[in-house]
This record gives sequence, structure tokens and C-alpha cells, in this order.
Amino acid sequence: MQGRLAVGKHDDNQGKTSGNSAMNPMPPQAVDAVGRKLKATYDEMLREPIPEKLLQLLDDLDQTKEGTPAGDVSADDTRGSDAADKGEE
Amino acid sequence: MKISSDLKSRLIEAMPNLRAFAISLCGNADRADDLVQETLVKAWHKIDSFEDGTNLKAWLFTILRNTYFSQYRKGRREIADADGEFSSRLSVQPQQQSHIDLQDLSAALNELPDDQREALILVAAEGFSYEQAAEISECAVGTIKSRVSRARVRLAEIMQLEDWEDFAGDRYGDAVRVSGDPVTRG
Repeated sequence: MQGRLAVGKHDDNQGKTSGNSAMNPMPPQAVDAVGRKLKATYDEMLREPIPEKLLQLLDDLDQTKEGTPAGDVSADDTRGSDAADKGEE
Repeated sequence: MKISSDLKSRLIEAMPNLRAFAISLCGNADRADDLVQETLVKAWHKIDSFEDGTNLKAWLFTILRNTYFSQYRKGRREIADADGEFSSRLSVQPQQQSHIDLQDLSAALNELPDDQREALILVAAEGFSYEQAAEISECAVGTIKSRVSRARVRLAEIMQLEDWEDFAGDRYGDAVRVSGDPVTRG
């Protein structure tokens, strides 16, 4: 998937050196090891069960009438068109 | 509002990834779930703007990170769990040594600047290409590359530094015990 490439919008941290520049450069093996640990930890998180309230949310949205945003999704009600327009955009 | 059941099941499929990304950004599972919830509501209501055939997960991640940076980022420092949201969220308890490592990792992630942490998670953990990550973060590919690269090194540095501090702390502790409080020695 080729996408548009926005250029140069975020340069907030450019040129900022790392905080430990006085130390020896990190050996690539150490950097790789930390990267693998990160990936393994993240993969564990992906295997966690999804909280019921998030699954319920989609069912609630499905039930909602056309053009009626489910503002407060934790409340199990079917409010009218004055339901909170929850921060679109 | 109705969406196709196919799209709905793809939203459900993306949920674990949205949660893991949200936890990584927020450093707090409760806020992360709120963030995922808000992301799903927004996605549902603007599903018409999603182009079928493009990457749904990337589209959802864009909504999530924009919501995070506009509304959730501010409270991060106060709420982030330095003891390690990453490790405490694990359903399978790792062995003792790796559990300590995971806590270190989570604490180290918390020390990264927001933009570096985001880039690192997208590329190194979630497996997006640099190009996809750049689209999600709405910045240049080169910017993502440099953020990921700095984040990797920084993370390794922080974790090495913590190892060193643990070591130094132990030695200091011994010295104190020897000179001041012999009773604590079992």
C-alpha cells in the first residue's frame, strides 16, 4: 500500500541527542535483545482476552438507530438524537 | 448506524492490537480501555470514510493515536504506572527473572518521549512498515526511522543503566548494613 508522505510536519525532537551520550555506544546485540523483549511482551498483551465492555460496545453501536451516536456507551440506554455527540474529529 | 457484519468482525479482530497500542501509549490499562472505546465509537461513526481494501488496522490506529495526542497525552505522566503496566497486564505469569525484566522494560518505555515510544511500538512491536507508521503518525518516513532508531538505543541504554543502578544500590546497601545495622543480616 503506497501512501502519501507528509513531509516535515513533526520535527520536534529532531537533532536531540540521547541522554546518555557520554556512555559507550550501545552494542547492537544489546539493542536487538531489548527489541526482542519488547516484541515478546507486546505479543503477550495481544493474547489477553478482550474486556467484555469493549465487545458489548460494538453490539450497542449496532443497536443504535441510524444517525444516533451512542454518546455514553457505558449507560445501557437508547437515548434520542440529543445523545452526546462524542468528540467527533 | 449499521455496518456490515464483515466489517464488524474485522473491528473485533483489531481490538487486541488497539488495546496493546493504547496500553503502550497510556501506560495505564483503565485509560487505555477508555481510549480504545472512544476510538471504536469514532471509527463506527465515520466508517464511511474508510476505503474498503485499505488497511483497517492502520486506519483505526490513526484514529486512536490522534485521540490519544489530543485528549489523553496530558495526563500520562501523572497516571502512568511506573511499576510496569506491561508486565502486570500479562495473563500468564512469567518466570521470576523475566518478570523483573518486563517491569524494567515497562519502566524504560515510560521514560521515552511520546513520539519515540509511538514509533517504536508501531514498527518494532506491531510490525507496521516505516511507510505505514509514517502515515499513521502523519509524519515523514525519515522521521519515523530516526525515532525508531533513537528509541531502540535509548531503551537499551535505560535498561542497562537500571541494571547498573541496581548493582550500585546493592553495594551501597551492603555498606550501610555493615557499618550501621548488623541486625538486618539474617
